[in-house]
Amino acid sequence: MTSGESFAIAVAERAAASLARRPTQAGVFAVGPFGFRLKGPAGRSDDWLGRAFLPVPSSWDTGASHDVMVWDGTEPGDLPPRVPWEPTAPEPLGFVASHSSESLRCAIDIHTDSLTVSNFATGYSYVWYPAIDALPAWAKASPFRIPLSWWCNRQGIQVVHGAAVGVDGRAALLVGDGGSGKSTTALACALAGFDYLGDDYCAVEPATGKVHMLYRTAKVFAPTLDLLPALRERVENGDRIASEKGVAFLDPSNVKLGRSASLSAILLPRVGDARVPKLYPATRDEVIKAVLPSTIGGLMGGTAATPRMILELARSAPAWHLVLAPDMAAVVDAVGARSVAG
Amino acid sequence: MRYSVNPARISHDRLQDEVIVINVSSGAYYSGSGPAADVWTLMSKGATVAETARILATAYSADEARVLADVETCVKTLLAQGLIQEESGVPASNGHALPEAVRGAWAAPAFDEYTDMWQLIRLDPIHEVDEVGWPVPKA
Repeated sequence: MTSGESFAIAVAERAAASLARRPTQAGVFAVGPFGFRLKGPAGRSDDWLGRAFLPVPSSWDTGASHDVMVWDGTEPGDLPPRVPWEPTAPEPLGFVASHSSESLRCAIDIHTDSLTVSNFATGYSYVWYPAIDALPAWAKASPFRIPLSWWCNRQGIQVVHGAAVGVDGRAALLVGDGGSGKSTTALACALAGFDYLGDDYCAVEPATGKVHMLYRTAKVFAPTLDLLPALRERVENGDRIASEKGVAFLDPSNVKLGRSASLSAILLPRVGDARVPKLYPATRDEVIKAVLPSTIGGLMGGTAATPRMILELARSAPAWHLVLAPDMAAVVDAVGARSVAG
Repeated sequence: MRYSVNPARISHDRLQDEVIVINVSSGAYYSGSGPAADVWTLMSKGATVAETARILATAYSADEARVLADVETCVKTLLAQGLIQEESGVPASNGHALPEAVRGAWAAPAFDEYTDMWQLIRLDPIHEVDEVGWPVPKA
């Protein structure tokens, strides 16, 4: 047994022991057709990290293939076992290559001081936080991104840094760096009646040409709320928006939430100052450069499957540069035209 | 000398004439097409520099001495970036093949390199990003 495997067993035992001492909450969620179970401490409703996901109807048998166990605490009985790697082992991305393998992956997230251990031989991921109730709003809005991205890769799905909106079952994926206008465009489309599949991270399945919702949340800065004031009342941390991203948990009473849609176009938005938005073709190379840095940066490098799925994604739909304009209605029309027509 | 790729630290794949290589250890990624993708394909499968140059000279109908010099330069770069490693235990292969492709004139293989990921990851999503959000750092 490797050091990593021994550590994974110890982590599983610690998680189970810690959760056995307190009330717990559980739920079943899905990324596309693939279900996963989540179990963690019961607490205040806004501390339940399952809130970030769209619940799976009880009538829907997802055949959940993975369990995510989350716990927290800094008391001796709650702390994870001592890590078996050197302090510098998680550098630079957080992924601990020295104690990981094809079926076992370990990581440290420097932003939340959390530990993730995914053991695909047993079908469990374990995530420990120092204190779930102290997590910043953005972290509660997009939890378990790393273990879910690893698990998704094993289902032929790639989590990507991007937004997606759809019309009539056909979706446009918006990709690019922060500040390019992904979130604002996606949320403007959602408020105009499009299906909303995410504004920060989405899941793409190149083999089926589908894009799936990962989180039902939206993260916005104040300028987006100025452009889209209808969102303001849905932001839960509006009192702190001067110092952190606003977070909204969207539900069907807010916008149409889409679980999956066929990917019909990839859009590379960027802010422009023309009166009307402009669309012109983008190359595969431009798509890769728009998707890859922030995707693999945000996913600790991805997995061995990531390069193939990014390459396939770039070929899976026509791509367009979308030069945004202050007229959001015209931007929505442009995205709608590409979503439907491809 | 033959070379290998450490799968624990490097993920890579090729689709048609494009290749993506991610170095999880350094937080950098590389993309290349045409001759760069072909060099990567051959070197990552354990071909020697001489074998690679011979195959590519034939595939591109190019002067083998020129191709050899270009491949040597490229391999030095790949080694320096930690994408491949010298491997004495790789057995000689009966033959290395390239995927079917329409190949034009030979050009020195070149990878686009992106090394800013570590900077992106270190950014605190709350305090260290500009108003537009992660991954744009504060000016």
